[in-house]
Amino acid sequence: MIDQRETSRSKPPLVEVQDLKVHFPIRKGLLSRSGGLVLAVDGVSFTLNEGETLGIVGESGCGKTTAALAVLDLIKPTAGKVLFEGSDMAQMSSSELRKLRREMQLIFQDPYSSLNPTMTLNQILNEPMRIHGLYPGKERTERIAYLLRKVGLTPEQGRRFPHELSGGQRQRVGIARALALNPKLIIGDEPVSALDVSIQAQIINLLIELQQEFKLSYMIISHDLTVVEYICDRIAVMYLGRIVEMAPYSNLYRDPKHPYSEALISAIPVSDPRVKRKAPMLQGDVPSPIRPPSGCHFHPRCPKRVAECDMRSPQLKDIGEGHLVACHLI
Amino acid sequence: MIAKVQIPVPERRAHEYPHQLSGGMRQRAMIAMALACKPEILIADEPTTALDVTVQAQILDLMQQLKEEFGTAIILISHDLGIIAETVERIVVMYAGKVVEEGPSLSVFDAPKHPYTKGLFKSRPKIGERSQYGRRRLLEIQGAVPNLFQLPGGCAFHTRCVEAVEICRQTSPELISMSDNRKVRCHLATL
Repeated sequence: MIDQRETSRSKPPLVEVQDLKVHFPIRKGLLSRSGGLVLAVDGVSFTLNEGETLGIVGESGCGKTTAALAVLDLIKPTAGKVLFEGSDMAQMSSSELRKLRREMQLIFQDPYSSLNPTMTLNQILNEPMRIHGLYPGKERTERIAYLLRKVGLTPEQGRRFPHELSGGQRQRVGIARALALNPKLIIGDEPVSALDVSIQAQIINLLIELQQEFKLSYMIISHDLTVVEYICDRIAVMYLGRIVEMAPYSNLYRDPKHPYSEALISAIPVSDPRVKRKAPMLQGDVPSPIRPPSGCHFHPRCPKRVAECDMRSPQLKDIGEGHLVACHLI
Repeated sequence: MIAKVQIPVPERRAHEYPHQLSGGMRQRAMIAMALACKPEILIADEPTTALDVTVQAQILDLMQQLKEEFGTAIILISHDLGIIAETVERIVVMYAGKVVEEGPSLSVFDAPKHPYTKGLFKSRPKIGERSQYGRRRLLEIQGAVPNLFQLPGGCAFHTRCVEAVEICRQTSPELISMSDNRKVRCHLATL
């Protein structure tokens, strides 16, 4: 009976985000008169399945980090829902949320400011387990040594302080800390952007190996489209708080459908002197999310806009093979 | 000059302060300042690293146009191989304070000679590569850039070099000239 029920009902995705909105009020002066709203995330929906890697790309201010913070419940959404394994995080009690936090961890961009300089690596890795009361006594010492080895450091290095390590080694510590509680989901916010080119490869290879070993799900936020293509299974392109296109990596890079994705991909310099980049497709900068353009947010910069684009904002449409596009021309 | 760097409505923008401009426009203003006295050399140190990729493309194009118009020589300093590949004619690769390789861009990208240059090229994924050919494991350059106060003896790269032999630990190699205007600082290039 029970078996039947389990097989007939398909497992919910690990994370499901439904029409998420995060709006920040702008306060002016001491009397906090409202100066309008920043529409940081404005109606975003996506799912992340177990063992999958979802990339979120876009230019600065497009809301990719805010969306990730809302998934982690570090920012309260203005509207919309975040479901973790099918249950609504907004409905959870604080003790349920606390348990859930073990399952989701964050890797930061800057390996210099994200480690406490007064703690040794052993202490840094001890913290999450101490806070959650996991792996007591000798087990914990063993787990710290195990974590250090897993990320390519030695247990002897556990007595060192962050300043004694290189940037790449520090990022390994940040990854070990994220692994400490055996999470299901790891969110990487620009996990390799602050590292030297020669070190990036080490960290990217490590992330992929750990994912295979621990069946992790990743959400990778990055402006580096080359790295995202390499790591991610599926990629969401964001522009001014909205997802404009979402597709498996090969569909997106071979055949981007949204004019913004196309422009973004064609703007990446190719490391081959024989390949000549086309003239830039986009003029101007990303507009402010405080007063975003009407209709499709991208229309003032879009080389293909039609009359409809500044009147109605397009919905994400499924065009097959898991490829979704929000553009009136599709 | 403001019009030359393609800032729209230059008459009005000339009276504005930097905080009123976007990141891309500020960088255009910087370029206008740098070119105002008609220099023979323009040194651009990571000129687009702080910019978004679509704005970066605009700035690189602008620099290329101005170079042709003013005939200014450009030294572009960057860690981004993509930018180097599409912009420059000649490349100098540096490691720990020394030039390790030098040559025409096409030739260096086709056949890097120094193990450090080879490592750099193979450690970055190429855009579109996975979509076309599947994922290859990225080549890692082991270790980290050494502390400049405590450089290893011999060739400064030998501790991270996969091809290092005994002589690399003993003596520091000279920059030697090779055919095709290439130079390389590696013992193995002469062996």
